[in-house]
Amino acid sequence: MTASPRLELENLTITHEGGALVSDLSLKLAAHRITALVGESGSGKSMTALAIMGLLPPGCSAHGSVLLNGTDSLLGLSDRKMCQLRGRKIGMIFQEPMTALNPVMQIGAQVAETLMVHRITLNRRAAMAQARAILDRVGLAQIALDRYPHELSGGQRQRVAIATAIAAAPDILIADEATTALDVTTQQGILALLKTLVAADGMALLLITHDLAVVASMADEVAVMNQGRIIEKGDAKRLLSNPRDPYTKALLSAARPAPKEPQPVSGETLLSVEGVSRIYPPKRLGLRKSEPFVAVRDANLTLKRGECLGIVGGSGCGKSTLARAILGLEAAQAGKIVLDGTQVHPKMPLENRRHLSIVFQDPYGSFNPRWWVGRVIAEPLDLQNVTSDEVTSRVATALEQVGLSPQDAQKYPHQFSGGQRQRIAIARALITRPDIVVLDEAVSALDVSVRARVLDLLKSLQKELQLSYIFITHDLTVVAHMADHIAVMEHGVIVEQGPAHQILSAPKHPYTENLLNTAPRLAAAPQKRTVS
Amino acid sequence: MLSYFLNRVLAMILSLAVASVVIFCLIEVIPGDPASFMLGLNATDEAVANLRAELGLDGGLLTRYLAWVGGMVQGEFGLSYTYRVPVADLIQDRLAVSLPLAIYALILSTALAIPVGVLATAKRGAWPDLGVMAAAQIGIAIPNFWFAMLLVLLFAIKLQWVSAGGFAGWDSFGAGLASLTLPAFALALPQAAILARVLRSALLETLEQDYIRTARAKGLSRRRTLWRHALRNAGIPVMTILGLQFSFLLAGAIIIENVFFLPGLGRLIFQGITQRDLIVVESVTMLLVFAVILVTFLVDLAYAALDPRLRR
Repeated sequence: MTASPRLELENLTITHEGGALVSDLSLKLAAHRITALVGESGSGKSMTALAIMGLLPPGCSAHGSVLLNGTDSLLGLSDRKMCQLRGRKIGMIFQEPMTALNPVMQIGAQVAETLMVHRITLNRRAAMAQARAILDRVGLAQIALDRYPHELSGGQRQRVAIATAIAAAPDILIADEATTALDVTTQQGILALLKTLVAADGMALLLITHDLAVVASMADEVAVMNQGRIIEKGDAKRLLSNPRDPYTKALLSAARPAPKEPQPVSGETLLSVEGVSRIYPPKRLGLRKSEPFVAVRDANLTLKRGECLGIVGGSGCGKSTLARAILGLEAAQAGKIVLDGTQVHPKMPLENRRHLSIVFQDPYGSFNPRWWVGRVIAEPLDLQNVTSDEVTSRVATALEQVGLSPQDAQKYPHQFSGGQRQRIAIARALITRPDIVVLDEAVSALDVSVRARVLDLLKSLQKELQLSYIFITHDLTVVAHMADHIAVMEHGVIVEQGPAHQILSAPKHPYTENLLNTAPRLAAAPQKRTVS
Repeated sequence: MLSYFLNRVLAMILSLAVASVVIFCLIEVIPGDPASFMLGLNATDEAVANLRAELGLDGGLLTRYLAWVGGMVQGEFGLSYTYRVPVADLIQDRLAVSLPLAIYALILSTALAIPVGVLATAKRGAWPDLGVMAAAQIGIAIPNFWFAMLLVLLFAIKLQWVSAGGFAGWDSFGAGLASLTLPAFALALPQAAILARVLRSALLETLEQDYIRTARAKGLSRRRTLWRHALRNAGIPVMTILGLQFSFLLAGAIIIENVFFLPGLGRLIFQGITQRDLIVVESVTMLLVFAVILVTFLVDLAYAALDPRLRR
């Protein structure tokens, strides 16, 4: 770190309507170096990036100094001046590859646009040729320039986004949660690409993330943010192995929940899935018909009372489809699902549905925003003959079980944080006193510290209520922490299943092995878990 | 793309078939005999019998339907009872006024609405936006026939730039266009006001999207982002409204046609109804339905041109 920094933030403060979102932030980005800015949602890390880009939302203002290459101060530049720097000197990529590209513009044109805007290439044909070279560089040599974003996968789209950001060879690249929405294997590819680009072009990379495992595998320096302030920064290896600040320590231990101790589950078999296939009928495409789509093929599973079964796999592997069949929401085209002696299918009596419930991923999208929480939680009871007095008391009990207060029933969903909403979703799942709760990526959208508390809650509820869980996730650390038994899915097929410790320590199928090897991981915890 | 196209064509043919059945049945279910309905209460039995023969009412329902549809496919619409000329000729004359008028008004309203909508979006919340939106509100609220009369007062009577009404014919293109100018403006104003508002809200929604942020991060100015990235993405709702407006302009210009004494389709169908000329009513209705369905088809194609995600 002897060369003068590419970008130097000093006492950067960002305010919104008088309140400070970021306070006194100082950070240096050097060439060839990867600096990670880590923090949970709302810690101010994305605001910092937007302030550097001069793209703060209306109503926000930034003070302090942001120096580019030691001289030019970026704050207070006119938008016209900033336009000349954005993309040219500082490139940025964002979280959502699905929406970050213009859906009606061919990808070649989107990459070439960066070149044309900055007048690096004046004629369109030369710009397209250069776009071709850049797309080759980000690993899209097979993808034609005239493809549209919707024709590409999430990982490919993120590569296009990277191509647009590096097209003009900027000095600094900001990646704001650029791999968060991707599968582990895809994520690893993108991270490797970013690393190569930094090494080859000497860019300074600012990696904004909440994922400490990503930091561990990527960063040279780390700055940890909490409530708008950097609370600890320094060399990545040192900081991750020997954090000084209590918040950093808590964050690190929450990020690596201890694997579950293997213990035999003695309960009787509650659910059995025998040879289940879920096939979507062919779609009519004009006069032609598409092939039928097999989402799940010949799945066999059993779940005991009190057991947690983890279903692991990348997006589109069929894990959620299998769950929908188990819940009796969709009919299986082959095989049968038996719950406690009765068969599960879409036309089963409502009474039997009571035994199964589900918690979804998105704590923001899964409630009716105009209903108060009590009504949200009580809704499953509408299908049963329950008196209104009992409804009230059961809602109160459910809220207490998930660590909220009975008074919260009178509030609306928007009055709660993400973690609290997920607790409400759990309360809604518990209200019918189910035997089995399907947790479909139920903690994936949560910050690590919140996630740790929700996982603890799930564990204590499981013990208290003798619940069985079907825990669907792409996250191996979480599944290791929760599951007794793991099934790994790929392309609709369960490729491997067995006791959790066995699958995680000695995988037999190459896909499982690949999954385990590609997931970025933090080194084992140096000390015992301290956070609740 | 081809299957999308074929699907649309299929949908168009089906809609036409259904519409023709509905129109045919509506005429058929009018209480009593169509011939005596057309001739009124004082008609002699002989006159009714003659008309029945002329209308071909003596055949069976299916034969009559097939004859009617078959005729239309060949451009044969029958003979108007009141005008005693082929309906096809009548329609052709009227279409020569109505179609150019509708296209003229549509071009005017689009040409007005797009810059105005973009301006309002770019200056969101500032006075150009507020001014434009207030003007649009007034444009929607003013009845177009009243606005038409104001236009006549100013441009025809006071300034004497154009004539107050009538149609000069297409012998001279300039004269034809001139006589359609005031009516086109009167029709276009409220349409432009609606279109500008739709465009503004579609653009504002588009500007919230992630790819707009990406474009800005590439170094595009606000203005360039708006024109290059937002406008096309906001095109779908605008296209929908345009399609609806064109159909309306073709058939619904009846009041404006009356204000300016234009011999258009709207007046033809109005006269057909008042004079109980069912042959004219039936044919013009079918023609208008055809126009609406055709426009819907073209709008569907425009969707696919705008948005590659729809081309499957």
